[in-house]
Amino acid sequence: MKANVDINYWRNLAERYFEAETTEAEETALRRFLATEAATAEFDDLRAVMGFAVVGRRRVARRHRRRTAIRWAAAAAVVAVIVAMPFAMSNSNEVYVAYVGGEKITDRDEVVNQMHSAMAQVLTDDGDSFESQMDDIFNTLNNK
Amino acid sequence: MKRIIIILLLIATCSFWLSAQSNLKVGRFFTDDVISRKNVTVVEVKSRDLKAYKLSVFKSVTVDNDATMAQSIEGCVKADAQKAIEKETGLRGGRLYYGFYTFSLSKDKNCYIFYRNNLLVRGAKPQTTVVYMEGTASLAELKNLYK
Repeated sequence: MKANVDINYWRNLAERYFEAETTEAEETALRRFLATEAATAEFDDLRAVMGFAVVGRRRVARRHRRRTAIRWAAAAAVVAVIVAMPFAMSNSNEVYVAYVGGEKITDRDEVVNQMHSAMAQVLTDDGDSFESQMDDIFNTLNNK
Repeated sequence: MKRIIIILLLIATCSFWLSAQSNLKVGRFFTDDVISRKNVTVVEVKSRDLKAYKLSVFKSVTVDNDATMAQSIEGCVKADAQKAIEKETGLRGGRLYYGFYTFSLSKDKNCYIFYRNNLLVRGAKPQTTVVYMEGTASLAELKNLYK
């Protein structure tokens, strides 16, 4: 009686498997059962399908992983284009601009003149004037 | 869409980390509120023409007769100077009169800050100038540009 009950349990489980109503734990138990002597020829169909299902599941998982990887690669490619575009555009565009008292100047020659002016100002030492040297001397004397 | 956002956030985080190392305080003077001032001249050049000077970027801010702004610029230059790999400076009355600094941007590229405050010199044109450049020149080569 117990054997019949057991067999009925597995038959029921097999039926639920075909209805896709079994849990993973139940499927694992079913697979273990199929490896026992109690799983007679009656369960050959199930055996065939479960064997295929394992292979199929592996293939599906592999396909799923490949699709996920492709999606991430596509997203990364889109991002690379978005990030690289400003750099590509800026490299092809030269910049010549000056703002004098808030007024924008884009005339190349004028901007270059302003550039040279700024460099001359920062490199020229006006501190060599007579007045400034005298200042230095007096300041030094006063601080002593 | 979610993947794109995640990747963009990762890149933004990395970019911030990378750029923080080359981020100089004097950068705050190359902004719109400074550019629009009546006593300020700002110049920006990015051009292959700068190659002749071994430069790729030139930016300058010159402020006319503004002691407050001069002090602010001086503070930023001194703070940035701590990261300089090469420097030459001069003082006047204890204040920074001029400074020429080199910073490493990468293995093959440097950036430079050149600064002069003529408000500290009697009889000189009362201007304060800070120049930012990028390139491969040496400090000596840049200093000799106008000799």
